[in-house]
Amino acid sequence: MEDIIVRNLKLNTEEPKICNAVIGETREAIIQETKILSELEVDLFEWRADNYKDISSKKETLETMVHLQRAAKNKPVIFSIRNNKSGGSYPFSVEARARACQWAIESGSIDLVELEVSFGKRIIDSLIAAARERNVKTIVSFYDYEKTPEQKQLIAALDECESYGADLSKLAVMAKTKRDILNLLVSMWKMENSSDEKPRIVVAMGPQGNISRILPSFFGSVLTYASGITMSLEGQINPNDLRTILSLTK
Amino acid sequence: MEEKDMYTRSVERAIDILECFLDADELLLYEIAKKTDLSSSTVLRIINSLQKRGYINRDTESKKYRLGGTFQSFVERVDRLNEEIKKASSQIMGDLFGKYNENVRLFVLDGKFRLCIDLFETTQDVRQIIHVGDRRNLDKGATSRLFLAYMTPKQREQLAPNLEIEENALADIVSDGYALSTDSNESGIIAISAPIINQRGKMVAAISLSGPAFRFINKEMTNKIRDTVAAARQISENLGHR
Repeated sequence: MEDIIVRNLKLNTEEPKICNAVIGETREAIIQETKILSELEVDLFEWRADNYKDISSKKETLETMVHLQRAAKNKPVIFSIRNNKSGGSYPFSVEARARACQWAIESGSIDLVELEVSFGKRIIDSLIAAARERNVKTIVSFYDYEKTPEQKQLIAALDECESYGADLSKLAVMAKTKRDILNLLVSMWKMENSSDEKPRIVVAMGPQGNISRILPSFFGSVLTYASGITMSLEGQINPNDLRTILSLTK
Repeated sequence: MEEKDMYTRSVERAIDILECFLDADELLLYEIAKKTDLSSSTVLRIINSLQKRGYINRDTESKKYRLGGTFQSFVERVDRLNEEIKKASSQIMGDLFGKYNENVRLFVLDGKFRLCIDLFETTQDVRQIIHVGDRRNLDKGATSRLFLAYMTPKQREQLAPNLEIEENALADIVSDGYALSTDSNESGIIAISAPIINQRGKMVAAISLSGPAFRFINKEMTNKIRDTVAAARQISENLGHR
């Protein structure tokens, strides 16, 4: 598998990295959380911009990105804007989300931008092209907050993510049973043996999914999400504990 | 050897001799010579000067040397400075401790070290132990970074010449008004440290709230930072800072 290098960070399954989501509503909250987390065992950040109250203003959003990059202390920042189907709280339109991603790409302050499969081919293609021009890395993602699809569908979903030629793919599904975990594990293992494999992020959400956060490399994932200081999801572990666990499970 | 160097050397030797008494109440001449790696005649020559000025006394019966009364006046003067800071802090430190039951400490700069002059210790089973009077190097920890951030570059160069800390990081500490530990994974400890500023706008002490990382990395963290910063501000006001 080819490594993706962002700033000084190598993304690969040999040494999965620890990512923290930043979800503040105000610039002040976003910056403070990032500053605190950057002193902990966090390798990179994901700014979940859908919670940001000024996300409809380009000027405010760009300004926040500049501050965010500074607060992240040279650690890479992923930009994402979710809607209520991908874990966000608000029903943003695809257009609004695509617009925000475009700002992120143009900002010069963001290292990676996450584009959801649900944006549609036209938008994804044009955003990937724009990102490439500016040396911003892209992630194409698939979410299922309801369930873990069957193996065939999981593989099809990942295939679709990878078909756009982005730098990384991301698969996040809700695991409710051990069978769900096994389905995800087997599908990812099958994908590992397919040709021209691209780096990916794999997360089983929910309390059952905890194992995917602890053993990201088993699931073929180059990173794992830790709990933050303002929010933690079920199954998430704080970054320092996660670092210890990762060093024990190498 | 240049004359100037020789004088400096004598001063350094005198200090070496005095520092022997940091961990001993009484010493014989040959014990001091052994500890300092100096000849007995050199030690005697320097000690005679120190004795004349009251820095060292000799018990005529046991022939042992001990620190002289002159030090008492120094100690009182240093204490008086710290006493004022302690008085201004005590109640506020107690309140901060009462809220979180985590270690709350008061540090002042003491030469190349930070010195703990007061503390409230958590009653929880997992805790870090520091005593009043303990001195720590300036190379590690939130409080060290805080002191370094508030120094002039010249002071920093003198007190901590080999530190690798980015100027930017130190500037951020001053603008944020607090410092955090950066080695939490190594030490297992997270500390939040905020500056106490006196009437003349000079940073004279630091208050810290600290504990094991597993008790700190959670939703309360931002409240802990806010309260530590507020406590430092209140103490500064007690000292007359506006």
